[in-house]
Amino acid sequence: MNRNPIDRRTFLQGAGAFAATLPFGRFAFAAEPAKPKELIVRVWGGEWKDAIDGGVSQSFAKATGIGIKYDETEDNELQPKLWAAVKQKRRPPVAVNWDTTTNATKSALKKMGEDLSDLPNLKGLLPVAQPLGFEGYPLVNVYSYVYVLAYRTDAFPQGAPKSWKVLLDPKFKGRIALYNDGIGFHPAAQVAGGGKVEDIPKNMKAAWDFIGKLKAQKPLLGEDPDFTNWFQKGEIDLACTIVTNARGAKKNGVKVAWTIPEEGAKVDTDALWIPKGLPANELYWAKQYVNYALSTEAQQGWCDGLGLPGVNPNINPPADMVGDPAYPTKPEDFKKLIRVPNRIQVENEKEWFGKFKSIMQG
Amino acid sequence: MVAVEGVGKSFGGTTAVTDVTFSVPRGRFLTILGPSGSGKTTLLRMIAGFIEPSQGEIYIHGKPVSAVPPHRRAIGMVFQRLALFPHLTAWDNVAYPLRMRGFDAAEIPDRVAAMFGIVQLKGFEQRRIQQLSGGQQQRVAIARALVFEPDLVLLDEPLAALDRKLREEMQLEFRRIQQELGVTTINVTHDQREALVMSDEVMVMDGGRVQQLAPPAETYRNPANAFVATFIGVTNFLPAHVASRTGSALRVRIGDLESPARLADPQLPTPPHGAAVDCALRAEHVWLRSGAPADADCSSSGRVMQCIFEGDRIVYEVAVAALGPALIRVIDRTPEAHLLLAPGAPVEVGWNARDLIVFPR
Amino acid sequence: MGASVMLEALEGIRATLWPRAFKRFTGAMLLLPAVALVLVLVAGLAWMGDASLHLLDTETFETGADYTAANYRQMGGQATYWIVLGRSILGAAIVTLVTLVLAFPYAYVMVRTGSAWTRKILLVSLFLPFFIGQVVRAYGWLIILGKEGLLNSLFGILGLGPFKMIYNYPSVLFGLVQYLLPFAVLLIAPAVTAIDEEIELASESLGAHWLRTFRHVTLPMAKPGLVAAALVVFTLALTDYAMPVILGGGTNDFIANAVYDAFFRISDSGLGSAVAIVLVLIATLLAAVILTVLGSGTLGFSAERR
Repeated sequence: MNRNPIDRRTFLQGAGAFAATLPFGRFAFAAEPAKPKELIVRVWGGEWKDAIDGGVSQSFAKATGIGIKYDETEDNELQPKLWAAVKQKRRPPVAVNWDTTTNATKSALKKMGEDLSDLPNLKGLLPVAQPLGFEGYPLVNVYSYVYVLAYRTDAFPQGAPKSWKVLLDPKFKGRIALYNDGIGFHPAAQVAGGGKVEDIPKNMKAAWDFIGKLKAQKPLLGEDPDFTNWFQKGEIDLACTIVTNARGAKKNGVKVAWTIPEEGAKVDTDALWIPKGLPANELYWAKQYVNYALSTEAQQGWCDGLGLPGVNPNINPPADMVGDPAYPTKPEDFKKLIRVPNRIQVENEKEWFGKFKSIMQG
Repeated sequence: MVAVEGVGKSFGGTTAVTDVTFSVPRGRFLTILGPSGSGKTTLLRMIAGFIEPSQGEIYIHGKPVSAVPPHRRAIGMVFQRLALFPHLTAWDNVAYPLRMRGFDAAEIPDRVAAMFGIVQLKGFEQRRIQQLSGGQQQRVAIARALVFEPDLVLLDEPLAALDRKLREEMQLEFRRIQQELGVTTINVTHDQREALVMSDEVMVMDGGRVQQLAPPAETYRNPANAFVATFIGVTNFLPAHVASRTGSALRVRIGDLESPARLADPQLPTPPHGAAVDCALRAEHVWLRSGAPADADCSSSGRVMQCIFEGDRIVYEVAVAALGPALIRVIDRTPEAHLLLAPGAPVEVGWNARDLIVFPR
Repeated sequence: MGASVMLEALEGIRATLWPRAFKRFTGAMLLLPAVALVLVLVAGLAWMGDASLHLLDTETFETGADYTAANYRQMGGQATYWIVLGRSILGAAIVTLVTLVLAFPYAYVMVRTGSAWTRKILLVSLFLPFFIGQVVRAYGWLIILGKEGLLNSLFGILGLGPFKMIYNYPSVLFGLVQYLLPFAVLLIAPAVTAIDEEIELASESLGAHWLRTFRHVTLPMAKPGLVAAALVVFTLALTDYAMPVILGGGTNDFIANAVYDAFFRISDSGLGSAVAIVLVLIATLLAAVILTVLGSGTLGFSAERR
């Protein structure tokens, strides 16, 4: 899966030029700082790991000679460990954390991350790359993804369902799935329930009513790997999930397709960030890794693997995603996507989570 | 009362009991005596109903009981390890069979109390089993087996674990209770003394077969075969040949000696002249004198090899040159002037014709 | 010769490091690792107790410095926690009952069987799941009981189904029973072994058929094992995490799942600690009730064995 291998010389030239543009600071070394033997990057497993490995890590390792090791601890589970390490000024367990923007924002609020403002490849990225509400870049968003309505094609011979309200169809009782914390579904539920996106987070009655009705449909609640699994095992017909999971199932031969219903769908981002407390040389090379991940070559390879639009505007969609509304490129694609600022999400997550749980566990 | 007819039992390929037939009349006490592995416990468990016979039938009150499960047989059993209920008091242990057998609740206390009187355990009713001594536990087990007035009581070597003094006391105690209540009893033991002391009749078993069924004195005095002779009492076994026979008078040659003897079973034909036979001679039937010749039908001189003082008796092992290399065991219950004969002392040994019992081979 | 010299040398070293005068402390020394382990647990609990008394500020994602019972109030005021708590306790009670009912005959036959082969097979089937692990077993049930699983394909051949057998409360309880059965059997077996078979025969000869023998003799005598098994099964079921996650389909959470969610999904260690502390208190309380009502069983706290 070694796509777009980059030439070692090109890379080093880039790095050299990068050092030369900065008159002072820790990058102003005549020679590079010592290379660590390896860098540890936290990733999600499965499709996700394959994508970053083929798109970013392998060519980075080839160019620099620094091995990339993966830590597949769930992002939620690694988070307290990272926080504890930074707080106690210990060396953090990973050098680069691939994280949801929501979780990365929490860490940024706690000032856990190194500032990445000086990465040369930030120039020319889409605006979505920059985190909102912070000075500089305590994290950098790397691609967008849409929470689509995925469906089994056998269950929809007439074509894609038009509305999220299809989830309420008694025919699909016990055969629908959502994320177990309700993530990604709130904006869609707000609109499908007759409310307005602008009322988030002040008035979300419409969303909660819709989710309440959904409870009677006995949904399955899970996490990324569960959706692929459930589609494969024939347990579900419909799911609100990140397009990558549906695409993964499809690649595995499951008859799955996805759509963005008329109410629209939530779009979100994932991020990379570097925890504080790394030795200087490791920090330097971790930043080089993140910088490289933002380059056109790396973004192309990585996002091809995920089937998601990267933050680098120069990349091309993978063949199977061309013209797919879940891979927005045209203005009308973007109109259907609902973005909730990560700060709002972080501040309200606990309450939303509690409400969702109280409905689903009742 | 109880009749066992042609009963046999085999487990898989091994035969534990073969063709056993006997009966016990009401109120009588039978002991089944035998070494371990003789089939005596298997036989007892078949009577209790825990094991089904492979052949034959067991009758109680004339009715076949093979199809009757243990809890419907009116049999009280005292187990080897007593099998008292440790989670119940002594009282509740004794009351247990009455409750299980549906006795009138109003009469249970009287019956239990009476039983505690009979086994002389008054005052211990509310003790837990662990708080009772070994002898007291025996009494509870006996009371529990008798309280519901069973047709038959089975004793599966319950006294074996007791020390000798307590065991002998309990043997007499149980015999007293048994006679007081007149309950039919079958006892199983490997202890010959217990069998002789307690029983109306003794049934000796070996290899799953009955060897002899007779009153205690009879099994002692007239063992039916060599096994019974060896198993009961201390017996010298001497290989011999028939030297002569005139009518019922029989003479045998043992080593260099010729002695008058008697046939174990007068019903059997006398073995021919020169036939090889075994002679049994009980240790206490051997005369022993130092100096003077023994006043007996046959005597010879020997030398004391070992002397074991047991208080009420002395056991000697004596080498008798005329009898060959085997040592002769002698039990002396009337030691002369409390003098022990030291090893090496010259002695005269002798015996009477009626005590030298001949078993044809 | 050489060995004895070496033993003497070792004994010399021992005498220097641990003089005879210290001998009375040897017992205490052997207890040290266990005590240390318990201390670590207590320390962890104390940390959680402290954390549960601080409130998370979602604007900065820092916990406040002030002591407050807000986390407990928040928990008490949220019906979800009561529902999840009730579901866990009810589930643990049902699982305990069913597990004991299944484990007792298993243990009984395993101990009493005359056939060495039967005993071996029962023992192996008992220990095998220990090597497999809870999560793998739970996934195994997904494969067997799923909509396109083994059982449903068999039903399909008969023209029945498919039936929905997983992702509901009964399947969580089923998974827990299967997971906890070996624990129960292992705790009950010694109690059955301790009952002399003669005692059951005695009961029969005294006029009790097998059912009454079971009720009046076997069961009361096996009580210590049953109490121990009940305690272990109940607490393990009450605090289980994996079965509700894997077999519950996301809508049948137990308390441990709520603790996990608070800690890791909403990053609120204060609330998570509060829920965890409440779980510990309830589990301790219920265990104490079991011990008081039924006695301490083979886990024995009293010196006197009845």
